[in-house]
Amino acid sequence: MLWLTLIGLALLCTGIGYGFSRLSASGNQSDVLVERINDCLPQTQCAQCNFPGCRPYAEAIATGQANINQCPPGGDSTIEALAEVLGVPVVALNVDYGTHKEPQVAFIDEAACIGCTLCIPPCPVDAIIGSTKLMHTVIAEDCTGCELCIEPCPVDCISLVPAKPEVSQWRYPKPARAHD
Amino acid sequence: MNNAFSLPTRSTGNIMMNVMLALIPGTVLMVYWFGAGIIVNISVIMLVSVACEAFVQMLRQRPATPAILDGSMLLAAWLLGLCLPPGLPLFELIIGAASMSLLGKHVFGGLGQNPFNPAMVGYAVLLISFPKTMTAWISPTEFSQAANAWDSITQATVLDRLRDLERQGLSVYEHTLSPWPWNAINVAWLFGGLYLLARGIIRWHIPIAMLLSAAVAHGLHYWAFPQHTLPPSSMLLSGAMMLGAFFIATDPVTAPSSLKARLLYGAGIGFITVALRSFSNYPEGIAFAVLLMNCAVPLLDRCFVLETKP
Amino acid sequence: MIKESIQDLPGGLALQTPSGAHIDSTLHAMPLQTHYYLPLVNYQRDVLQPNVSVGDKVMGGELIASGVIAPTSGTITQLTHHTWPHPSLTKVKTLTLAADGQDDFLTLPNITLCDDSAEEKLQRIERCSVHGLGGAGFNTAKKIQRVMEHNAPTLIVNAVECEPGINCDDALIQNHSVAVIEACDALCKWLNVSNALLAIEDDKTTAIEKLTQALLAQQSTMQLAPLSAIYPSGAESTLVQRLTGIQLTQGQPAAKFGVLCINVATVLAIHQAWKGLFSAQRILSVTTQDLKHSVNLQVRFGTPIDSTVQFAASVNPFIAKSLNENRASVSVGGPLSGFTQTNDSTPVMATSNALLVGAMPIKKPQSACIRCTDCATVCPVNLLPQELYSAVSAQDTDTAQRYALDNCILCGCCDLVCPANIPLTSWFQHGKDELKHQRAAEQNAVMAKARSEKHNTREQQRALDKAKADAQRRKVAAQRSQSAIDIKAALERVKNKRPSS
Repeated sequence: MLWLTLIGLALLCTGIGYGFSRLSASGNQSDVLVERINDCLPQTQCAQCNFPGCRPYAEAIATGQANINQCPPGGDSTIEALAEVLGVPVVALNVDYGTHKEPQVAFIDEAACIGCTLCIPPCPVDAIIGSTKLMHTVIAEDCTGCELCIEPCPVDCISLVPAKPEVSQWRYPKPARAHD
Repeated sequence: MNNAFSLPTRSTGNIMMNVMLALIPGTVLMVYWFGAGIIVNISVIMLVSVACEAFVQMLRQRPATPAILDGSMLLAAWLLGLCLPPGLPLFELIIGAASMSLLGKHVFGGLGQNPFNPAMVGYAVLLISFPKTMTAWISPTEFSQAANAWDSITQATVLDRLRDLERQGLSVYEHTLSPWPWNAINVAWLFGGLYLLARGIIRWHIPIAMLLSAAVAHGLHYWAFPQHTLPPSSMLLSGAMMLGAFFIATDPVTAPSSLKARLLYGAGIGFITVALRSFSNYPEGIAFAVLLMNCAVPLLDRCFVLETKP
Repeated sequence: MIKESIQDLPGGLALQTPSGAHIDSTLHAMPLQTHYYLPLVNYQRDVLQPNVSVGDKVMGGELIASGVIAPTSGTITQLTHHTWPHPSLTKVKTLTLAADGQDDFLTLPNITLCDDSAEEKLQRIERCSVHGLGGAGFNTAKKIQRVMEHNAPTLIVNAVECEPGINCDDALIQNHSVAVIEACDALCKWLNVSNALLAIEDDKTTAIEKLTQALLAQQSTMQLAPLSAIYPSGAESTLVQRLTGIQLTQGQPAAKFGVLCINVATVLAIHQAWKGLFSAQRILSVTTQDLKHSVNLQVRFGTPIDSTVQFAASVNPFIAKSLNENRASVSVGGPLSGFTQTNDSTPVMATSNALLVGAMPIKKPQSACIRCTDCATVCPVNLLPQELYSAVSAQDTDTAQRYALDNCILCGCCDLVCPANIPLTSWFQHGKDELKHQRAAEQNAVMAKARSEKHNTREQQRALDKAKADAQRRKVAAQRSQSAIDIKAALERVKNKRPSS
């Protein structure tokens, strides 16, 4: 009787374990992981991680080819989110790839722009509009501040300005604590 | 915050003060029966824990005076002092007070951050480390003038005695157990607790749930083995039951937040206390019951948070 | 005529007006000022584009930006960054209007209830810039538009103030009870309202008496709903729940459930808009910090706070006295919901329902939270502020959301009872703003990701196309060169044959 019970329990546990493993394995495991990693990334597509964009970096993390601390725009919060998804310890940002900056957007000095269109294809999020020999401009809301448009500009008319906390962006400050 | 609307507001120090006020009658009775040793215990523990508090505040580069004046450490020290038998060696008192303050409170980040009741942490450390001295409650007769009223108990409380009898396979009927001083002291805690309820310092959920579940559990035990235990009525008034129900389990820092969770928390403490009293090697189970249920608080808080959504 | 069965508020505080308090319910009209400051920002903190430029002459009622009208006639003299009544104490783009003293307003035709279409009525509300005068400053036309999707909606006219020191709605009702009831009835008829309630605290006896008389005289279908004076009974979500049983969560508008909850002054403003009057002023209480003296002023939007307070001081000597106290300051809003503002030319806006003047009470020292749950007991929306506080201060937004931070109505009850003097409401405000910001950032990331994916597929496609075209060209070129070789070879052959002939 005892043996029967034990065997029964063992079968039950196996069944439950198998069920759970099926549940979590639904879908293509690695693709799901890449998606989950990609969702943690800030989507600036800035390539500061030495990969051509956020998704390639996510793929590299998923296959173990990259560390989780190579994303300067995401900073500490992204590293924490990645560490949680992957179940690895939180590490500090690797400054070889850059330092975390306040949000910024590209700005085209429209007087200096010659309308060469060289900056348009590099923009990973299609935030620059303009046409040949016509002035270009950056759609500030869509710009992720990735800096990829700076280099191609032949007349250096693109600069990065802090994404200004307009009054609509204002956040109620953190109150003082008892011992701060 | 503007309070021009004459709203009765209270401060943390004020809450602690009220709890200490409610502790006075029971403490006076304990001193009456067990002598000045109780006062010695309480004052030594208070001194040591205040010193620990000041030391930690110094380490953390925070002002020490407000932390001491809020009364939380003094209250915990007082509660721990009440749980210790008089005549405990000085170094044991110091160890108890230091573990209460440092292990029970400051390792977690100080006031409001500790998951375990500090006084019970101190008590548990002492009970496990020095079981012999910790269970040696002197007889009330040694200090009391009314020496003849109680004769049978030496060196142990009723609960200790009960434990010994059970171990020896003897029935309670054959031996005189006189729980009188403890019953009186428990009534004094009960009155203190009622004062706290009336002042709105504590709410009824935890003590009532704890006493009810303890009574039910005791009733079952008594129904099953009447010769091994006391009737539920006197068990509720024995040991530290009332002190635990109204002063220790109600510690807001270590109790759950929502009212339903508090009912479960109190019921858990009551049940575990009785289970420990009945089946463990220790005569009194409140401290471990409180500490065990403290472990369950985060879970309870998590389970019942959805209930609180409007 | 009196609504029964009103649910109790699950928390809240009975805030007593101090004994011997004197509230002046007379409406004192502010004289015309020389300058008005009109911040170009709406209730959602969006920055607006001006329709006028510096030097333009405007008539009263002219739209100078979307939703902003000129409070009098005059000249636009400046477009500068100026302070506005907001806890951020930031500056926003502001138009300065120098009044010409004529006070000429544009004239708009009357809108009649039966003849004109709903469209026209809504447009008129929008055109006259009617905004919620309760405290949030919603766009009233939009609110009504949402309700119009429902047949036979419920109307709740909100005259509940509950915060001692704010009594502008009380003063309005005491002075214009008949007009208020007329306006409510007109709104009811227009929206085909099935159930119309007027919520008011039961301790506003004079106002209730006047309303009862007006209801009888007008033979109105409105029901009075007297509520016990417990703060914050006037908050929309709690009010709707108590009167209709509908639970609003996560910032849902009541309009979604066919309930129009609207401030009493706003209802009057709608009615007046149909009569061609612009909503360019409001009633505002000026109260001393100790809440003992209060006057009610009719103030145009854009009036500087300092002149408003000065005028109130000229009406009531006690206000003048508190203004001269040590450390005297001005805060906008009531004693719980308000925030300190400098006493300068910061203008009054639609949301400014009260100004408190006098010495601010000294802040008591903070200590650690001991989870005493006093805050949870008074929370009118059944939250656990102590848990929210620990989550928000640890920047744990997930936990904060689990404890329903979104449901917090920022009423300030928990601040008042906290024995550790923790500024809980400020924390929650901070937490809400952080959460909003985080959600916006997530939203931006999603959009950026989508755009980037489209960009990448497009670029890949382009590269593929280019490669294909290149290959094609190469093939053509190769064929061409091959045929050239063939021709050459043929010529050679021909050439080689010729000499023999």
